[in-house]
Amino acid sequence: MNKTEDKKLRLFRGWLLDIYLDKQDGLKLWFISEQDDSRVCFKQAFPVSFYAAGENHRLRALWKHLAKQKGVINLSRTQKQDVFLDEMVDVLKVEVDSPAHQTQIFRDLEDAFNDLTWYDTDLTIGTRYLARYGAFPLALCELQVDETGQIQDIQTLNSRWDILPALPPLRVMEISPNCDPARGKATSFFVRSDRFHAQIPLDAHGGFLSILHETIQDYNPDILVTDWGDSWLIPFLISESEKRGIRLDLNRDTSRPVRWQKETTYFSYGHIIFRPEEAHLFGRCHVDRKSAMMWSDYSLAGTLEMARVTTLPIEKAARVSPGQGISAMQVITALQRDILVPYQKRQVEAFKTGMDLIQADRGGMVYQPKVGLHTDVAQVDFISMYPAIIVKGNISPEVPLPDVLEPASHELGVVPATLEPLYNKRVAIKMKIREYPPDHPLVAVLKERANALKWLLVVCFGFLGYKNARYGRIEAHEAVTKGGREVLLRAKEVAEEEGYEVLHMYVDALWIKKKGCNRPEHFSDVITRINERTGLAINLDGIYRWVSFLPSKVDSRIPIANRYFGVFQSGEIKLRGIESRRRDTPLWIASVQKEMIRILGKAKTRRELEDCLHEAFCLYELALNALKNDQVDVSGLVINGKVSYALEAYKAATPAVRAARQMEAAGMTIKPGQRVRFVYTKGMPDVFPWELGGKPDRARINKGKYIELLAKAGAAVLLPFGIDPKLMLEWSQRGGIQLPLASAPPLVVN
Amino acid sequence: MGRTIASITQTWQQEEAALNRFKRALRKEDQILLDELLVLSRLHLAEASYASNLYPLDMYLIAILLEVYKQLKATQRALNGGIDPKEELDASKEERFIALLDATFTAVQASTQSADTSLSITHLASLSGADQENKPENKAETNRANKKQSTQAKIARRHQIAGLSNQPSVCYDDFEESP
Amino acid sequence: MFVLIGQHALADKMLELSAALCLRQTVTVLDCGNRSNMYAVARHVRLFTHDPVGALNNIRLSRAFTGYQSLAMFEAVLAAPPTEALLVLDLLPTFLDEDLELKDAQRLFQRSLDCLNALSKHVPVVISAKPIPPIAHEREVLLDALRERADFCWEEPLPLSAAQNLQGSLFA
Repeated sequence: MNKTEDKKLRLFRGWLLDIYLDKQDGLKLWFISEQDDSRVCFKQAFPVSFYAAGENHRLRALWKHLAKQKGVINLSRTQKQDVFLDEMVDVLKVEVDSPAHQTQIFRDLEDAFNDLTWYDTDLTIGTRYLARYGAFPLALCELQVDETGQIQDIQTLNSRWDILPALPPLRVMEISPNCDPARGKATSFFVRSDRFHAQIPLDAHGGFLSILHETIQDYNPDILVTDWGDSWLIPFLISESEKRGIRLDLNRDTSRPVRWQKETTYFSYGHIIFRPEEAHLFGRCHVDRKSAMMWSDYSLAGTLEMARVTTLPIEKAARVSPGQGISAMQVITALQRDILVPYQKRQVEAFKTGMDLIQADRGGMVYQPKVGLHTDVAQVDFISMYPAIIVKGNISPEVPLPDVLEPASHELGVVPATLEPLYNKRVAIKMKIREYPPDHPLVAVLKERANALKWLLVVCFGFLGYKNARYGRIEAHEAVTKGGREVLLRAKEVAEEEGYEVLHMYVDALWIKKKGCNRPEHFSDVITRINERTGLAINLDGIYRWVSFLPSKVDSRIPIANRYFGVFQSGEIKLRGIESRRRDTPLWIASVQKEMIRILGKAKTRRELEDCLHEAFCLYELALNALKNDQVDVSGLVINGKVSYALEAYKAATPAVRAARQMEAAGMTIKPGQRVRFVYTKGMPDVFPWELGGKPDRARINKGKYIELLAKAGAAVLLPFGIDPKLMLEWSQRGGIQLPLASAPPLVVN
Repeated sequence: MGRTIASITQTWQQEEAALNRFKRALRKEDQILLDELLVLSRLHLAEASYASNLYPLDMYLIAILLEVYKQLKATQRALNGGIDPKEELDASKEERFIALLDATFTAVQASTQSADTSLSITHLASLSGADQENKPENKAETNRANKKQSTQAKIARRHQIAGLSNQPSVCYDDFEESP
Repeated sequence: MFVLIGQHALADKMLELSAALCLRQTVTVLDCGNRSNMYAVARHVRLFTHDPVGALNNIRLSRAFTGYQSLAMFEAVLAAPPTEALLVLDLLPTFLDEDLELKDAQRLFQRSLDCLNALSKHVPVVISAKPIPPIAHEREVLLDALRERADFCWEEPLPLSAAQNLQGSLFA
């Protein structure tokens, strides 16, 4: 960008917080000043281009159509690279004065010129901005700004890949109602920040609006974190503000209203997901903890990390799946390499034979574990195995694919080029964590950031096989799983050569044991050798004091790959596939199961395990009696069900559907993918929908059902110790067990 | 983009379903045993998947054979006082051969150490025929020579002769028993 | 162009046909509905050959997962037409995708039919499809278009409903 000599320019340094389209000015950008902590808005002209390819006469027709179109500043013919084609592509380049105009122009063109191949037409402003200026959310920038507030030049001073970036002093304000508005009437708000916390009553005169407005004006938060902000709080505040005529500026940019993104239901990784309506702000970010998809995994620090590396706006980074983040990153890689970004995926699968398909169409290796209780077991995991294979094998849709692990081409493809810095950053952050003591405040933040990056890496493989992924290709996806199977088998071979028994294997992890090996140093050789044999990094996740691999609940002879629990030597408990890991297990039952495992986890030897077993069973008995004697809070018995389809599509109504139908009858709207909470009750109806408010009569609670659920949860913990689940259920229900006649003591007749 | 061919679990279920008519015609007690056999094949689904065989049923049958063989070995051990009969047989073969080599080595050593070649020849001759072996004076010599060997040397020799394999031998004691 | 319409796009029958053809010749299979379960083909060929692997290697298969991909696949095959039979498994699903607007689905589908029609001048083309599910009823126009373009169209009779299945009364 060139300085304009005739305007006085000033220098500004600050962090980029928000960026959005403006029809008049091109872009509006909000910064946090490094100098005086002020929040400033600048504008910037931002012309953008898109491209069309096709037959010459059609491109000429397009040229004519666009020549006098408002917003079009230039048309030219050029050649650009489409990675899926060997030759450069002849394209018509259309330069438009602003992104807003570009979107509108393309929308009009799409139908009339649907025979053309389009490129760079639907890119987000964040990806375009990064590709041009290297700036991303929370980037530290140095700007040259003219008197009108127009940015004339911008330099980015730090990188998305910084391990400990200089971050702005963000002002975060939390607002939450004093209860779940779906279950009761909120009577006040809690408002919190680093400077204050208060409870504002929802008075009848709307005074709370003025208080909230003044608080926001004074504190001037950068991020508003709410509970139920999308579904209730913000709609309520706006409605009250309009009704009462009391001013409430939620946006920093007061020229705009709150932007609403409409609700949606979509299918992802085998699940129907419902996303409610979203409230987006301008100049400030709104994050609703209740609808932030990954909040429980990495909350605010992770969300900000996600925004920085993907360039997704902070609000979006909080809400969407990591898949969108990976997609944005791939587009950035393409733009940085001056590669065309296709609008629609058109790549065809190369022909395979029937035999090829049988061999290629497979996933990761999932073994059947050796069912039972095992002691001194090491779990070794490959670090981000699939991303590592993608990078190491240079697996990308546009380059020749490796045979197994060795790359077939040295020119790094778009996908591995995107992943490599991400993978390296995650490893670097994990190494950084080890430099601090566990209770250091930075450790929690670094862990959240590493978690966010982990999720990006986790989805990148799935994204490679996603039908709508621009840089997805089924053959590349298959190449990754093939590499994964090979790597796991090599690891198994090394472990067995070193004399280890392989108890279980699951895609990228092995559970191994060897007599006499129970310290980390005992496993360092085998880890080194696996590393050498596979070329991938593997690390010791931990050594279990004991771990129990559980069989199927339906048939105890059949092992289940991802159903186990155990205790590491550190005392940390690991659970997979059992009741307390399931979303639909009532919280109280989950807590009983976890507590039983925690008790067993205290044991350091087999002998102690026996003693702890008795203690765990005592706890179970106490819990059972509490349930039978109505001493358990009903809120702990709520089942978190889900309705995957429209209610009318169900032929056989599940309990969640029966609850949803009651909610519908009460005037509530139920969308596919929506969570439906309920409590089991006796008689008809046999479920009580939790969202209807209030609590069911204690006498109506179906205790029998909850005893059954508790017994299942307890039995899962005690099964490895030879306790039969059926006997446990019988005992729980009846207080005793029926012995078969053959095992009855002989009658003594005097 | 989704998987196209049936998963290994799905093919297993299809093969199980294909046996329904056969199973139905079986007596009840045989149905139970058939179920147990089929369950055994589920212990090796991952391996069957990796094999990518055109006919997964072939792999399930191999898996069943493998598991049945394992159970047979375990039963043999249990009946044989905890020792694998094959290992015992192998061990006794080893012993016999080692004894032969021992005697040969001792005889050669004796002949190089002393000038009494007749003794070594006699000794060697004693190894070549059953009659010779049974001659009391030769047998006594052999026994004396053997007794001179230290236990450690015997073990060392055993290892030498066995030709240490890189593969650890399977030992069922090492497997965790499910309670 | 032979069009066969039935439940599950008559996948079993189409795979049986693939099996019969691959015993003697190469056959091109274009799969738009994720139907090419080669295990089923293997089971069929096993009855007729000692070389089932060789038979399966006679199958040339490509899959499409979006409407755009389907069209690109047909265009690519038209550019280098096969010399022997062409089977299209479950033509419709990629065009029923709710990510694809109806007008785009219709446009892509018409162009796909043009390709398949052109291919049918070179080799026999057999296409299977399934009835449009009620949830996508506005896409019924696509199935109508397919019927119109077929040289021969066979539709699997619908099963009788439970009420119709009852034996008629013996007595008046």
